[in-house]
Amino acid sequence: MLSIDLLIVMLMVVSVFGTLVFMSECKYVGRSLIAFIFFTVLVAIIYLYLGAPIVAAFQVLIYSGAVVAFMLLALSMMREEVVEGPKITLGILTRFIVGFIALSIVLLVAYYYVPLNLLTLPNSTMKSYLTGSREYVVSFFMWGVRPVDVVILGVFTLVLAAGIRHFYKEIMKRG
Amino acid sequence: MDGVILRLLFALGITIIVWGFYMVVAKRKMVRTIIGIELMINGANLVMIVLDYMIYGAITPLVATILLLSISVAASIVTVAIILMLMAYKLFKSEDITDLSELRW
Repeated sequence: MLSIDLLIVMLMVVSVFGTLVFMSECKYVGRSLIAFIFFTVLVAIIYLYLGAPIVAAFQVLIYSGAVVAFMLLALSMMREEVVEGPKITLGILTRFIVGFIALSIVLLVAYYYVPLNLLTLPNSTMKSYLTGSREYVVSFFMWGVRPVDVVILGVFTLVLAAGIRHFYKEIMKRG
Repeated sequence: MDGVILRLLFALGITIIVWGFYMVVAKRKMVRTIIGIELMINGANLVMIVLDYMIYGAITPLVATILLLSISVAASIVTVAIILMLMAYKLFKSEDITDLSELRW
């Protein structure tokens, strides 16, 4: 069932994904830093959505404020604007296609791939051990995470990143 | 909160971590490498906060404190990294991280 909350989170996930792509594949490093500002603000909004306003405030203050300002200062002390790779010229239709493919893959992973039984494991662990020690439950939960899940997600994301990069290169070769 | 939302945010956190790793490994400019390190820390924070929400149904003070510490330590890390980057640029007149291989002995 598609709820408003799910729509908002999906919008934020897609926005974070867009900032990630822009951050890594942008021509100028200064623009990557601007994308980094958007990224930190979006992550702060997710923190706020999850009910951690102080963490969100610290995220915005430290990352969007101090870290980015220091990075810009360091860039300004260097010789010239850093240019990495040729300029990417993509049409609006191509960008929509890339965004649609990326969104489809993220949604497919989120809906059909269950990393582990996340929502029932803590309760069963609580009932089984009844230690009352949060640290013990957390450690048991963390050890319960299958490493193969992390590996699968990591390989998937690397393949996606390599595919987008290859796609951009092919587009540039064709002019 | 819906389990689908939490799973989506969990997948997003893992994606951010792996994307940061990709930027650290594949990018040659030092600034992008530092941004990749920051991305990895941000992804780890997001995964931690989502797992906390999954376990307890809310953000516990312990995890919130750990996250504040993590953010502060990340700022310190990036400060030291930028200083090292400036020193390397002053020494090698280049922002390519592969030029630092000359520091090996």
